Amino acid sequence: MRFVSFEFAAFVLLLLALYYILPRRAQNPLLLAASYGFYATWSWRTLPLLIGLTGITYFAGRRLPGSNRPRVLLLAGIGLNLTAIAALKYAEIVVPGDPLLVQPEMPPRFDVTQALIPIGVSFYALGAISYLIDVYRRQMAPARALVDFALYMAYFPKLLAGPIERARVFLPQLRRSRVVDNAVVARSGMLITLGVIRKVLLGDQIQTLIPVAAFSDPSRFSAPELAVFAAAFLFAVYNDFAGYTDIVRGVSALFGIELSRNFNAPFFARNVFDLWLRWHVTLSLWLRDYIYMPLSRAMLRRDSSQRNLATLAVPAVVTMVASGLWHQASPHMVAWGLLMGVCLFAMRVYAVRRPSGAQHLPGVLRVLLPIAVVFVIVPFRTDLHATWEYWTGLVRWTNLRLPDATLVILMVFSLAVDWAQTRAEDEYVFLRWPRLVQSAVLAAAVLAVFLANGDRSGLFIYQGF
Amino acid sequence: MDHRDVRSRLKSFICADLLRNPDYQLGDTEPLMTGGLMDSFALAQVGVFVESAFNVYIPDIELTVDNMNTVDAMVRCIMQHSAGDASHV
Repeated sequence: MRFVSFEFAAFVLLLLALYYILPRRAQNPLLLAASYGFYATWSWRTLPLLIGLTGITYFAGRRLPGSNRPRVLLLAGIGLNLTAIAALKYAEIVVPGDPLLVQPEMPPRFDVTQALIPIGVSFYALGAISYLIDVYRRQMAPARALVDFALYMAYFPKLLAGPIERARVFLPQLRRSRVVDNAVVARSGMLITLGVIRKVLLGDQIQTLIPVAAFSDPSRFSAPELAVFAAAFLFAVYNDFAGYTDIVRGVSALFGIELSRNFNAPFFARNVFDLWLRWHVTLSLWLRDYIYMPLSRAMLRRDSSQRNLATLAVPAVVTMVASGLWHQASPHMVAWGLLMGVCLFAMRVYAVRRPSGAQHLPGVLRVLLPIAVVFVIVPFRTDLHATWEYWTGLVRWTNLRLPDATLVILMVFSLAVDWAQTRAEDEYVFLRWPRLVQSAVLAAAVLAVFLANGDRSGLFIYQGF
Repeated sequence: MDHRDVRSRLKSFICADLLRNPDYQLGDTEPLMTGGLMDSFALAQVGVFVESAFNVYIPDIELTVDNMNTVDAMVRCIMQHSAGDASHV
């Protein structure tokens, strides 16, 4: 059941009706049953894996506080969840395909409903791991109700591609009464509308305009084309994933449950650190809390000198390589992680030399930053051989053929949406527009989405991870 | 542990070791993270400094913008964790 579809809209409306008819105590079990049903439409064969990991993690969490060997229990729980993630990555190798080749007019790389692919495991397993670590460190009490914990793992709006919520934030919401007033409904409506616009009118359209051959045979394209295609790919991934997140946050809010914001105008980042606090925020914070911070602190305890380059480099590189492996177990993703780690390391060295200047980069670095990001994104998209060809093509300015101007227009439109939210420091800024303007924009958006075959929109890119 | 002493030593550490400008007049409510003066690595440095200077462990998940954006917020967080939780270190 795709998110941008009439089936999903009908599913949510029916569920909402039932949800608000039922008494409060029956709402969580209903959401859990609906979440499992929703998951079954995607991957019914691997539903037992989700239920099994949920049960094991729940009982491990319950036993952790009184256990004689809590570290063993913790490592066993983490190991199981990591094995599940690795199984997905292994399956990607067994069933060859390109997870980033999910385009609206193209069939997906394989039928996920038929293949034995535990879709969403990369996301819900990270939630399970953070839960076990937090309970082990006594930063939260273990969940009491199995239904609540199972819902934390399987809640359908976040199940397939996040946001990666923390149990200590999510579980208390399940115990509170849910308030859904007119303001919440208005904000949900805005998020869903904006999400569909981002997905169908920006993400899908940009992706369609990037030739598939650009990343498989870059030698056929000019340097200006390759530069724009790489930047456009970033915008496609961003709008696809930010669109997905907006939709699921809007849907979830209708059930009185808040999900975390995953993107905050990343193209307005001041530097590389800032970029990672604005792009896939819940994954960035997960990696920061459970890999980067412990590693940095462990190394700083041994040597707190900022002149020790290893202390500056190792946490950044290890964290970003882990991020690459989380996305896909492949050499090009490791290369992407390495390069991104080196960028963070370089930025850190610069920050050590000019402590107060890192957030206000001089002109040269401000120009170099987007160029570096365009170079670094290439191995995220394609294999190492094609990456090298792509990079050499980017610096070979002999053929100056220009790409389709529509791509640039769509990217500017995407930036304009972000700029409006950033300038107002309010993601709901569009609700402040006059009602007439809101209605006109909504009508135009609905029409445009239908013209763009919205109901047949493709999978979300991050569902491939 | 006296919160004035904590504040004073914390400010000295931030100005001298992180900003590398011992003469910087750091305000109690000056935004450090959102103001661009500190990043995640600097937060790790603050965490380790607090362990060694005050024998207080602040968990990684609490080294956040909400808890550590200003000197005031840091002092509050340190005082909350000061009740003998150094065993976590």
